[in-house]
Amino acid sequence: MSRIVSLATGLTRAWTATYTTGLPGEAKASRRTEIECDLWEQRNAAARACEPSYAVAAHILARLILGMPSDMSWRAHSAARHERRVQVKESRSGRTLFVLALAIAALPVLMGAGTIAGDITNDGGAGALWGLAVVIAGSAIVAGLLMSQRKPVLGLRLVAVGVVVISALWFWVLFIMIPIGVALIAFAYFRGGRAGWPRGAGTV
Amino acid sequence: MRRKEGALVPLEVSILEAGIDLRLRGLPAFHGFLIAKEVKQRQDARLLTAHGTLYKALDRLQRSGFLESEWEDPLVAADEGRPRRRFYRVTAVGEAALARGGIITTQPVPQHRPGLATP
Repeated sequence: MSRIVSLATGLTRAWTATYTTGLPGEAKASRRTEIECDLWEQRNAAARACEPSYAVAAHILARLILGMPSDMSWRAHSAARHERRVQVKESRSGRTLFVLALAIAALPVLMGAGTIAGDITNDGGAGALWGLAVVIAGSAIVAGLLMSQRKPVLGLRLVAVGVVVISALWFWVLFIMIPIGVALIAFAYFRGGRAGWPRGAGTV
Repeated sequence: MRRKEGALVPLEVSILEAGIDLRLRGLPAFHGFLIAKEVKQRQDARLLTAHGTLYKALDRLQRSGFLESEWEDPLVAADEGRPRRRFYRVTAVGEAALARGGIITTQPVPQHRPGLATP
């Protein structure tokens, strides 16, 4: 398997691991195994058809990126079905803010994936690594926000780590990243607070 | 795509149609990548259905009782040196929903049949 296909496969695995984090064992294992199987079948079919590596990698990345909104929606529904639900009545403005925060957090994931895709087609390397770091950090923020009510401590840590890493990677726009990062961390903190944390609700 | 109340979305219809088509061609069960390939051919699309879109649709179809699934024997997968496949089958309820033009009239059923293995 070529390096760029390995990279695309690794990104898909990392994203799958991110959005299934915190789900019950069965749901998590099922989704991860299905994605693993899908990746294997796609690589195998591409090898039989002698498809060029960059095309296979770009195809895998496109499937990853285009499916991200569905992944997040599936995760939210799975969590609602399976996990201990923290009963919090959230106002319409609270839900709007949550969606906005998720959209902001998803932006670096998409931009990082775009950088990787561009770098792969140009047969580069450093840009892809930078993009990978951005994708992972952005995914951490998304995952942190998603679990900020059910597991406030872990959620807040993920958001904070993601914000710090992205700020470091995008240091030339630090004056924008600092207020956005502080807002995301504060939002995760207050969502955890609404669930009763730190009075016993927040468990890692 | 926003779901119309009580109806299957086009991807779900395509999955059911492709599943039935595969059965008629002698493949009673399908896994995710196989159905993605079938749907791509039927829709004459450039790309396979995105991972998230595909597996979310399969999950919903199963919860609605239109598909049932079973994990492959781990020994078979190990012998062939690949990950385990999850095999889906279109149920009679799924066929009936398709015959009604994708209109859902049944209640959701439990996701897993008793005794089915998970990975």
